Amino acid sequence: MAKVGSFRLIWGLPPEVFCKKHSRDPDILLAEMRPHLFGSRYLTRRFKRATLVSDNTLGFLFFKKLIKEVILFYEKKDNFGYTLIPGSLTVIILAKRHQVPIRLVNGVSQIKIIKRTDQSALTFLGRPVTLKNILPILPEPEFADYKFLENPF
Amino acid sequence: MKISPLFHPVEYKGNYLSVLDESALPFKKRYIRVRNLSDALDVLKNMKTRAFGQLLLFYYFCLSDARLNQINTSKKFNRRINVLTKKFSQARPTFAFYQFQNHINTFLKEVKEADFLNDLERKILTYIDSLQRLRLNRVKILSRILAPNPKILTLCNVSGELVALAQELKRQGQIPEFFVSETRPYLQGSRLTAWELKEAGFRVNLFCDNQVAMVFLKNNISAVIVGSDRSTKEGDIINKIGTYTLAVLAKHFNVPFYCLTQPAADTRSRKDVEIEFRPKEELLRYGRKFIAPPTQKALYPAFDITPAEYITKLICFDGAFSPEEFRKRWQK
Repeated sequence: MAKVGSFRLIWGLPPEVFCKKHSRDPDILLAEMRPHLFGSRYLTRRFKRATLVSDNTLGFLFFKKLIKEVILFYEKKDNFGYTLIPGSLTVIILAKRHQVPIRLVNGVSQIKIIKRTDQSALTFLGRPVTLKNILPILPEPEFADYKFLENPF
Repeated sequence: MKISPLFHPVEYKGNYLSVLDESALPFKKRYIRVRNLSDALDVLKNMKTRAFGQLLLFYYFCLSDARLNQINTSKKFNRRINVLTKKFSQARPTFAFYQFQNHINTFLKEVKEADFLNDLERKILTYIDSLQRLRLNRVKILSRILAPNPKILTLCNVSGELVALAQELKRQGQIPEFFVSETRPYLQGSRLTAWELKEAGFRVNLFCDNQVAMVFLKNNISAVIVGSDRSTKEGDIINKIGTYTLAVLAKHFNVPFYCLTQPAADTRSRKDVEIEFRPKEELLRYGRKFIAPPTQKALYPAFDITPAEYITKLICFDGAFSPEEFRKRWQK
């Protein structure tokens, strides 16, 4: 088991310059980032010494105090707040609940960098995982306003 | 009432067991024959059965193993069950197999030595029947405290109890709707829970594990319902990885968090529980295909711990209890 404060969690899509600068960092934590598997399929090739976990493991790692910082890459910033990739609100709430600092950094657009095989939880690597007539909740960009991010939990 | 095949996934056949292969669902429904200890451990380690299936596997295997090895005294059986408990616990360390052993030992005190194995078999099979009735009763208890026409968020699989709950709600004239988290890496939410609920005719929505905050935000969820592999005397629960995240989010969105659970028995606190870490390949690979480089470091804890402070009610066989009430029961 890793030690307290071992990891910096990357959530979102970092620009190439960030990837190059931190490619050898051993304390980077990557989550899979379903459905597109940005973490498993794309970021693992850029952070070869990073540790990969499934998205549902993040709560456990926060609880165990293993995450010292969240680096959250946003897609867009406007007068009201940040537009973020799916799953970001879950990460923000977990980080705030466990008083882990969140660093917001300008990311890249997800569309440019990876072929998206899966559109929802209905498939994994393009293969169906359950009945076709089950309703998927499609992932969509998430928004966090400045007030929500700044206020303590 | 139509029962989910996951409600009773292991059948006792005397000299062997028939185990529903949960890893093949939902596209193939096949049963594995368990004839010896090696088969039983293989089924456990490879997640062919889990949750309530593990309990059935343990009780039934103790019987079929005794038949196979012609064990006909409580003394011999006691020696053998020590070995079996150790092997089962090594295969899945978070599950409390030793608690089941202690329970079977209470039967041994009452078994007639002259007809040892037949009498033990009767006692264990009667116990399992009563346990299944208690599980159905637990679902009725839960149905009475839910909001009308509830929107229920869940993860992993509660061994057929959500189908029983949905049917009980339907019997009461209600229309439940389910929101199921896929539950990586084995996708039990997608493959088992979404499937069994849809097959039983209920409305199911499926989402990726990381979408849970948005699901709370946009769907007016009435309750989170999960199972538990274990509970502690302090009212904490140990369940599939991701349960803690749901509990934190439920608290954030002010949604009640209910857990279907069983007696804490001798698990005093969460410090007494070993969390099982599964091989990293289960995360890096899907089927035979690697989704990340095989050399990548990865962590896969199979379970997490949800502290009592996040739990609204623990739904037991004989009632629904707040964590405080649950603690008091065990202090008596």
